[in-house]
Amino acid sequence: MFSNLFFAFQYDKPGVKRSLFWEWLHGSLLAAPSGILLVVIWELFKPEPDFIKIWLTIGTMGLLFLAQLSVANKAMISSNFTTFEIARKMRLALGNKLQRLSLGYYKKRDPGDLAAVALQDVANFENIFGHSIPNIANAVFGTLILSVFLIFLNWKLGLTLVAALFIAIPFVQFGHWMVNKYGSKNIAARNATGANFLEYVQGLRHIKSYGMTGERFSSLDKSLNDLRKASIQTEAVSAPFVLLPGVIFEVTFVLMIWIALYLLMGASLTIPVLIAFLIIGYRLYEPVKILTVEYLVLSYMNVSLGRIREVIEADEQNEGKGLTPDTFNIEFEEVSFSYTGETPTLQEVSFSSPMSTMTALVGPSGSGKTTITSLLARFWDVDQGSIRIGGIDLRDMSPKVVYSLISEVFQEVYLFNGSIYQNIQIGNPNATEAELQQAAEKAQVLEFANQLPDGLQTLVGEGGSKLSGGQKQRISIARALIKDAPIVLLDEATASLDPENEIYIQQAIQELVQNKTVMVIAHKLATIQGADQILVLDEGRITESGTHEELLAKCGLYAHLWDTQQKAGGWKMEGNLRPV
Amino acid sequence: MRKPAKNGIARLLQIAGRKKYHLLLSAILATFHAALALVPYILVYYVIKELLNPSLDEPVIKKYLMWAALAGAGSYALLYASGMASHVAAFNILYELRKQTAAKLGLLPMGFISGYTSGALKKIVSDDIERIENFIAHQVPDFVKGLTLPVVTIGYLFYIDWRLAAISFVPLLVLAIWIPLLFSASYTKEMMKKYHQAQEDMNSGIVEFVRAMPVMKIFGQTADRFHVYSDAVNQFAEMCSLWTKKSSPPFAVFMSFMGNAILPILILGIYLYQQEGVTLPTLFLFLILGVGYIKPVFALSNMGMQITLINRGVQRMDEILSYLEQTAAYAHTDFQGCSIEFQEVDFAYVDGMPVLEHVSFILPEGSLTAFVGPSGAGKSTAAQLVARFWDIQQGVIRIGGVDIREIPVATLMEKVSFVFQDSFMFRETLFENIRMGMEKSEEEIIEAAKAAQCHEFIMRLPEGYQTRFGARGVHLSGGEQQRIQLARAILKNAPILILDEATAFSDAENEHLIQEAFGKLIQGKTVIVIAHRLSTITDADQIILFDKGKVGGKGTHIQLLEKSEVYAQMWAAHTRAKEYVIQN
Repeated sequence: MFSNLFFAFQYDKPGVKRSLFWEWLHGSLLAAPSGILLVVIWELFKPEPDFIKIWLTIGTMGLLFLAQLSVANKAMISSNFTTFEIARKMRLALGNKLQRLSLGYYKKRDPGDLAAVALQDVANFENIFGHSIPNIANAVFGTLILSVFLIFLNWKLGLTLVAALFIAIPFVQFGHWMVNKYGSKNIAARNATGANFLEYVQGLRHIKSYGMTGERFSSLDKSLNDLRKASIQTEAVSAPFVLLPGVIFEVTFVLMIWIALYLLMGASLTIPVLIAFLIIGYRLYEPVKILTVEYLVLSYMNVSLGRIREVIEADEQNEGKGLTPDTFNIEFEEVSFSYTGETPTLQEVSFSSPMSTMTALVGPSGSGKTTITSLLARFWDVDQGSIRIGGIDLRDMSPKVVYSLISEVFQEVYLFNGSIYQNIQIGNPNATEAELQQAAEKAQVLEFANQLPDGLQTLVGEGGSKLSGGQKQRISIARALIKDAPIVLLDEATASLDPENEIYIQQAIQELVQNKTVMVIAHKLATIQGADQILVLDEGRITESGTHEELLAKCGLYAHLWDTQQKAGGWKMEGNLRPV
Repeated sequence: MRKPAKNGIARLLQIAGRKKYHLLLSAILATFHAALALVPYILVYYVIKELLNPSLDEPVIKKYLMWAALAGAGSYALLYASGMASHVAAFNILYELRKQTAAKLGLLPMGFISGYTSGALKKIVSDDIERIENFIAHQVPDFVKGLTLPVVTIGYLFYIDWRLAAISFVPLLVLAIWIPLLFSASYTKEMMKKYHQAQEDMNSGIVEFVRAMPVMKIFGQTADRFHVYSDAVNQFAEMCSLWTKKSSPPFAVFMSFMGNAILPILILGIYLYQQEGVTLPTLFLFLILGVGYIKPVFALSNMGMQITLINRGVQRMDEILSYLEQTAAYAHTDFQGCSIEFQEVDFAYVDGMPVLEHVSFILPEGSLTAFVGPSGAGKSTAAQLVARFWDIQQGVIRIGGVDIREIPVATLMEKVSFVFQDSFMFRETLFENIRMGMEKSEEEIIEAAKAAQCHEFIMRLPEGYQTRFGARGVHLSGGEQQRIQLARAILKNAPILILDEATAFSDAENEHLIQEAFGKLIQGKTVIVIAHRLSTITDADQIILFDKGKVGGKGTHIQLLEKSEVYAQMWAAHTRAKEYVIQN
């Protein structure tokens, strides 16, 4: 908890110090009425109270009240400003960090989840911390001042009351330990319900079309019921520990009076002092009671801070020696790689692709084709071996340089909420209007853009929602065309994703690969017959390589795949009736 | 769609009313808790009285103290009991609401559900409904406590001394006037709007920044996007600061009043002591109790905001619960075969944006029909309407001559099989995954699996048909999952089959196996294929071309090639695409 808090504090140390000062002042002023009350009471107990002194004291309290008005304002503004400043700087730090994380990190993490860190988690800090600083400060400062004061007044009674605070702490902690223990059971039950419900909803079309609503429903019902039981259990077990400190305080207070009675009889205590204890003693516990409630909220904030830290402290790829290649042949030398650190995804993969040639990657799903292209784009760094472009190891180049050498055409396309034109321009902000038009033309973007009311200026909607998959794909190819990187990585299946636009995407790809060093992941073997080199992968190893003709002659895996695909040769569904 | 009868607090109380007796118990216990919590204070008052007596009666004081300790502990025990009662009520209600919502989803037209993402539905059932817990388990008892504690205290104080009791109201009165002013001032509303706007801007900025980052990295343009991001972040922070500056003075007043609430009592108390002979113990009693009841009252004012939050969730839940279920008007079950007829069908998802207009066609029983056309032309919608995913606005859809709105939904579902584009698997055994709750024997299931080319790969799994999908180390490829879907459809053997041909090509290695399975499945059925690749359906009995929501042509492949220019163009593009070879 504290390490996460200090992590947050570092973003605005002066602000935190300033806030603490004002909150301390405010806390002291809040404690002031109690002190003044005492002065009044003592005066009242004198055989002949000096009422002028009493009224003057009350007048002082009025003045302090006015002082408090302005201090409370200052303290509140200071705490809030500090909180917002920390939140702002954390968001900026996250933004900076997000630019430096490896692309592999983005593959691993759901973007929605990552955005939630900058949004929700920072917001949690913002809402909870700004609200909690005054409460915590009051609790800590107020309790401290009152404790010292009471001990000073009568150390026996004072210590008795203060002791209750220390007795309560283990119970509070034990209580939270219980909450966590049962809470995690509860969370498990909640997650199970969530998963079951998600399955129910996602499969609902299937469930309904097979009329199995009842059966699936009973398993969902069971998990809902489990959740209900777990929730009640958590509450039943943990609530006593949350309430226990209150009982301790009540009992200690009574105990204190009991002790006082004996002290009174022993004449080591005067009645005015005891009365002071009776009136102020109760106030000692008020802030602490608030804090025990606050603790739950704070631990919620702590989880959020932990998530923020995890991103900000994530490993970055090194910038290397800053080398830049001037030729673009690709070499893999004994490359091994694993995502998990256990099962290897690639094992001792070696090959080389001369500049301006085409290399095709073929193999069953999970054989490592995509991993090869991802490693070449330095999404991750290899575990063993080395990958070189133009003779320079990727790790000696900054990731930025590597990205500048490579254009990718993959299945997922991201478009900004802007115009088609702007989305193409991203490829090269310095490109001229004419170059951009030409790229749009070559990538078959004009083919559909010309039919839209605003042409290239048409807005694509959030994430390109107003366009079909094939249209988005062509925009991404236009982007790659004006980027004009020497190496092109592509997934041949992208064209098949949108069968109605297949021909256009194919033509666009054809333009993109001209005179480039190309690496293509192939599914339909017919498409890559003309490749200079075909690598056949199986379980992370290269099992065969050569040109189409060479591989057919080997009668291995490739020849088998080719055969099956030829046989299927575009399947058909035949009608049952003839004339309609 | 029907609007829920009630909303706001009335609706929440209606929900809470399901466990009336639990809540009543909780409220009674909370009242006793509040009363008992007061007892130690009153006893301390008596102790002080005794102390100020010249003759100190020690046993009496000790008796008071014993009672005070017991009452203090007892009040907490009651608080626990009250909390448990309300929590049991709350969790039971949550359970019922979740169950009801899930059951309702099963009864609604499928089209309704496709209006939500599964994540959104999960959020409603998990998070939105969870919020109701806060109202029932916390707000209701807190409200009772917040109300009884002050009432009992004030009653007692009035009984002791009405003048001091009356003045103890002053801070409360000031706050009662102050708080509404605080929240209703026009600038507050204005600020609130701006604040939410800034927050929304920042939110969308952040989401876009994160989503765009991989692309920006590849194109080396992270810096540009960062400006947009940091501007949004800075703007929001600025808005927050402005908000603080405006709102903190009134809050400071509020806090200071709370901190000094004792002042009026002190002033009047001393005056009365001096002039009217109010006793010291009485003065002390007011100094202890006179300010204690303000905080719980303040807690009540917080409720309004909480309830707005909870309400939003309830509204989303009610959207589901109040949606009308599909019913059949006449409940026809006597079919004259399984031909399908669309007669002048109009349909729109949203009013004023027609998806289908004047669509008419007849699909004879046992024929195979392909729906083709550009994306967005309406071919998928038309196919889904056959299974009554939505109800149409105009025209009639008939199966075997009967309007589908007159067929019980369950019967309709028995008649129609779907092979969807996505293949969904349950975390169950493969056996159950094929059976889908149908009353079929083990032999029938294995037979269907064989026909769908599943048997072989299932037998290779560690526990064969008893292997649980989703278990550790069990992996099925996309193509294999699709074949399981086929096995389901073969097992169901419904006379009408609607299939999405897009399923066929995700797994090139198994393409011919899937083709065989399809061939077996469609025999003798009335089949609709939503076709994406024209070469797969050139032999269909009938092809219906959809173009901008209308039927743009009907006929066989050969007929359409001659009749329809659109179709001829689509065919030419498709043929060229098939012969594609990449050359660099």
